[in-house]
Amino acid sequence: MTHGLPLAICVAIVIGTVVAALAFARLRSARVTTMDEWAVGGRRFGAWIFWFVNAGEIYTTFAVLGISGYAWAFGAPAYLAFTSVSLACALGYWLMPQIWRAGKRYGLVTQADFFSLHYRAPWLGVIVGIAGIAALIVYVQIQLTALTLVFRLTLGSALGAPQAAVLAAVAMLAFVYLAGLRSAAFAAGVKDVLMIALVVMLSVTVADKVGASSMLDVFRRTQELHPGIGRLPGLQPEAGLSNTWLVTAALNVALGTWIFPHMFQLCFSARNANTIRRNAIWQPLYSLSYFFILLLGFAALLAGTQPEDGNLNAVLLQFVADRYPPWAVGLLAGTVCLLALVPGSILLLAAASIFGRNVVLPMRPQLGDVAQVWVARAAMVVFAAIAVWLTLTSNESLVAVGLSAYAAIGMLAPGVFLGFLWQRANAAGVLAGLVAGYCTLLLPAGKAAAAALFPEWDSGLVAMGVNALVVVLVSAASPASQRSTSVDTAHSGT
Amino acid sequence: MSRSNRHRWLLLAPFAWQVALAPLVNDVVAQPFGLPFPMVWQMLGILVTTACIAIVYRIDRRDASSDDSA
Repeated sequence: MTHGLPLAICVAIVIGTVVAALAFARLRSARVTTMDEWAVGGRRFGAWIFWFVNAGEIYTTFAVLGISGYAWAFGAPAYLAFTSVSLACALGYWLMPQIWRAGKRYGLVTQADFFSLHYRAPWLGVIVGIAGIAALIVYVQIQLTALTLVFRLTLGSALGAPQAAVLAAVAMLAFVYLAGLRSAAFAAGVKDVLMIALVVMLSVTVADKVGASSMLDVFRRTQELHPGIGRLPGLQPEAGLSNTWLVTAALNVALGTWIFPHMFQLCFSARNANTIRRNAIWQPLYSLSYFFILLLGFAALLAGTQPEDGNLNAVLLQFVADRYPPWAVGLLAGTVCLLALVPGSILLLAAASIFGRNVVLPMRPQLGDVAQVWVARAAMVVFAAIAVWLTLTSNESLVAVGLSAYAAIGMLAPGVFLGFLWQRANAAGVLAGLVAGYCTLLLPAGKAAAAALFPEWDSGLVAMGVNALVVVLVSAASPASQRSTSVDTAHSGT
Repeated sequence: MSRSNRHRWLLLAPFAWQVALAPLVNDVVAQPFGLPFPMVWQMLGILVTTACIAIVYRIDRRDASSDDSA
């Protein structure tokens, strides 16, 4: 696919959006000179902007390329997508206002701020900051993988994967350097509208492309051709994507969603707690659109789509390239670029602000606000480079990479939840829990034990359970004088 | 948030629907509109979630007209 048209459309979409986003940001806000403005939008986001940034974070390439690929390769396990947003919102309705309140009260900018202030342990902020950055980099890897695929689709496979990945990282850095969260909010809005239009457009014509009579007929035929695709464990029972897997993975995703530093931080950018609550009502509905993503995955299966090297992340791109006109390919490529660039830039932004504030600042307290922003910007290059390296060394599905990012960030969940729910939880407990959780997740012995005791469980949920248990045990065993501050629990309406 | 928060338990209903009951509906062979039943179930779960959160929000707003204006 080296026609000029898809490339031209793709570039036009990306550049057009960036320019419009910049204009929008200039229009809306003064110069970005403080960390507060750059990273949390000055805490002034109303319902609309908040919705779009939020949706922008939830509906990423993980959803579009990852889930369609999962539907194509496995079938029913792709239903995980239907649970991810709704459960996160049900939980977020309670959790996000707590986070927002803590943020408002202490003037928090990052998640690590929360840990160091709530647990009165600046060292814990440093450790949590680094842990958060690690999980964010894995998440950036997802976006870079997607961008790499799009670049190779539009520019031709002559472009090697390493070059494409580097190009993708450069594009992402360029995007984020131009401005902070405010322009990302606008770009997120554009990409959501584009994505819906595109997905609907592809879906309306999909039946025709694969010889079915209607959208529903695509599902009917796929089930006739592949009995068992519609129920777990799907097409490849040996992959272990069973009921147990769906239940545990869905829980782990729900528990981890707001723990991602950028999502945690996003709570601070809302104007008030009510903005957040109202958002939680409508956000799940948006995830009904995964119906179309599954439809496209099933249609690709019917059409016999074979992506290069059997790479399931490339199924949707390959299917559209095979069956749709070049302009549709360009539209898809441009949309996927935005789908990767917008969240990717927000992820890098969050990682960088944590690094500047919570890792560097404790060591160099005399650093000014402007200098902090510059340190953060430099750190982003390093993080992007690590993500490029991860992208090139992994050939897993985007869903698998996504779940490992959730597993990584889930390590911080006990510290957040227990922080709000249990006044005795303390810094030593949180640290011990982190260590135990990482051992379960990363050490070969820990992994083996978890897999033997909890077969087919999402490994992240098992590690989170171990982590939480250790936090409780250690906190309960420590003297009561080490108690955390209790300010931001229950009664605090402001 | 001084008044009863019992209605907040409703926020667990989506978990019951989409997680706890998911294994039970996995074996249902019916195909509403030609779609696999477990898929329809999960999509309905999204509607259930929005309904539950909306109800909780309503009650919260009614209760909190005095405090929480932030």
